[in-house]
Amino acid sequence: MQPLILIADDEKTIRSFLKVSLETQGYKCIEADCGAAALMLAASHNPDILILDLGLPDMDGVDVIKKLREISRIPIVIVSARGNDREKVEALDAGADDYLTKPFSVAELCARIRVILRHRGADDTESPEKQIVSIGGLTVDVEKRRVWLDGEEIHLTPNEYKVLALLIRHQGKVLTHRFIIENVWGMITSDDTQSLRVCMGNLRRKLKEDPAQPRYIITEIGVGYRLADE
Amino acid sequence: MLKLKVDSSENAQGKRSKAAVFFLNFIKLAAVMALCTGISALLRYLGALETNIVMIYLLGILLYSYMTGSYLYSLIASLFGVLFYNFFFTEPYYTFQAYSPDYPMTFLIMFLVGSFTSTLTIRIRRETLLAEEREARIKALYQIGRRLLGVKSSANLAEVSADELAAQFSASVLTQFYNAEGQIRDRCVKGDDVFSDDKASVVCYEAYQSGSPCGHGTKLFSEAKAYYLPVVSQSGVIGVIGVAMKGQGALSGVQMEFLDTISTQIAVVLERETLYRKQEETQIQIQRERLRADMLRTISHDLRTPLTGIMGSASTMMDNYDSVSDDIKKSFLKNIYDDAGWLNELVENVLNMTRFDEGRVKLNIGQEAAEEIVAEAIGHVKKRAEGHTILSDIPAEIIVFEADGVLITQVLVNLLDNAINYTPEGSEIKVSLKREEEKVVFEVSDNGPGISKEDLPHMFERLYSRRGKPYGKRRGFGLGLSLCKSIVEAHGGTILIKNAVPHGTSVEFRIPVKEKKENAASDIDRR
Repeated sequence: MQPLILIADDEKTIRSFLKVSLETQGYKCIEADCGAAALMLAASHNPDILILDLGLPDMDGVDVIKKLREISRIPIVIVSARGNDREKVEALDAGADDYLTKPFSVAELCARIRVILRHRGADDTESPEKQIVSIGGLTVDVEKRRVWLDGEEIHLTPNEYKVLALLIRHQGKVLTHRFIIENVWGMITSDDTQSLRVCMGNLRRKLKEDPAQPRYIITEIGVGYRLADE
Repeated sequence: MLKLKVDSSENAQGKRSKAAVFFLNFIKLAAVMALCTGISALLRYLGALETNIVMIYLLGILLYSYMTGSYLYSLIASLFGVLFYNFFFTEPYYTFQAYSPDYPMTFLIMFLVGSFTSTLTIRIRRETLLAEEREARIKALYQIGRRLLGVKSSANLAEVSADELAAQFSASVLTQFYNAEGQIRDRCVKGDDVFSDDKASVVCYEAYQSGSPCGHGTKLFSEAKAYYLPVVSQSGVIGVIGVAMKGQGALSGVQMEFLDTISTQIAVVLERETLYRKQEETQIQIQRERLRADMLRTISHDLRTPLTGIMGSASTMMDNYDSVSDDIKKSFLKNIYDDAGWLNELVENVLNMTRFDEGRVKLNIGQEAAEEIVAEAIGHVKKRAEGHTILSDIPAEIIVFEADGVLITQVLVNLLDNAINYTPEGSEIKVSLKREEEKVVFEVSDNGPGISKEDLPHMFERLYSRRGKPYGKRRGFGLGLSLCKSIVEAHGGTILIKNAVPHGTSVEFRIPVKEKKENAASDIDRR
């Protein structure tokens, strides 16, 4: 069955090119031009993904996400203008899964959608978590808490492992700094941001990442981190 | 000495010591008389003339009047002098009688001379005191005036005047200035703060509103703890001075006069300061407007270049859709896509620039890892740099620094874009990162042809278009580098451009690892 995608954007041009390009990729699309319509369609059609523009005319984008999260766990990809990092982070913290900055390429959007659909499927079928996850040369045994890189086992500190495990558990999602810190360190102080940076740096060094072009952990400047897919 | 001190005990002391003063003066009188009598007795024993004895008493009277400084006591002293002389040194001795018929005349003259000279002495003494006091006051005024002239801002003025007044009056002092809208713009309290409770604020505001003194010692709010004097300039009331009063008494005439003089001076300085600031603001406003106009002109010109490409390609394709081959259509579409991307980059820079042009920019400071920023910037430009090799040199150490990550990324993106645009295909671009002392050092260098000597000093000027022809088709309008400079300086850092050896360009910028707090929202556009 074709996955159903709900596009919520007030710009007709954007809706139409998204619809055309997504439909050529084999998705079915429905459109909403305001927040109220998006909420209604999300409730009635139960789409697989919502692509939500944060600048809708009738409602604040973050409110749409909050309202939607009360009734559904549907993955949400937000689209927002550049320079609105705070808004993005707020939306992600409110429950959005991923974001794209305008102007974005359709290819990038399709890639994100693919990742989300894949991991959503995984969530549904397997009860708690996958036991062994591998991305490229990286293999993680979630149950035994062991990590291999290109067949060689590497040793991580407890916090480094926690960060990696968190990213794996939420593969396909952008995790905000706040979310990671809350889940790894427990509470937020200004020092924790620094701890997070250092921890990330060390983790990347252990994963032998090219600093200029990270392979596994991708930085979203001003927002957070995501785990690369495959 | 300047008698300006606001002292609660002054009046009470005056009452209590009236008896004490009387007692003290009496003792002094007794001592002086005893001394005179003793010396006179000695003189008589030595056989001196009686005239000398009269002189001794007169001298005693003068001395005493000088000491007490009181007309009444000097009269009493003259009387006692005559009586003592009569009692001890005129025959018959030790009685208040005199045999010789000349004596009453002598006594009268002696009394008159005594009282007259002592009156003169006292007057001279009082005048000296007055002169000294006046001098001290003038000196104090002069000193305050000089300090007031040297103030740099109205906040500074409030501070200095409160400081000086508190020192002169030995009391807590409030200075408070209002802006044209009637809001408090500067406020300074020296000493105990008795000006902050609701009631004091009401009295203070009343003084500001009515333009006449209020509070302690006046008819309005006489129960208040302080005396409030409005500072009046030509344009109306611009401030209030409050002086805390400790006891029951009011300010003396001298104190009031002093306060009035100072308040006039404060008004003049404050008015000058306000005018100066207004003028400066207008100047900045004019400059900003001019800059904005320049920028708009250049930007609209430069935005048109990619727009022309987009519209041209699109219209050509629409008009000749059936006659051109698919390959050409594809290349047209790619052109449209590229030009739109270029447009997007331009708009990005313009947007950031306007953020800075508001005058005050609020940086979104966070703890950022330098290597992540480098990675982000390289990732951003990679698609446009297919003909170039981009290398990176990241140290083993993780450098975390305080900055606005998005803006610093923008700086690197601009520098990389410049490098890509102004070097031939096949050139090498290198981004290196290191830590030197308390600074993060980013460097973007290329092995292209470099920049001419004439262009080098102007590279960071806004709207400066370098002469060298770009290899890429994108011509910048000089906004990129000047924006880089603004961003780096807003972070308290420095940026430097130089030619690399043997050839090429290198741009290096340094950002302090620890952001200084006052830089968080700093004035950027001073040029």
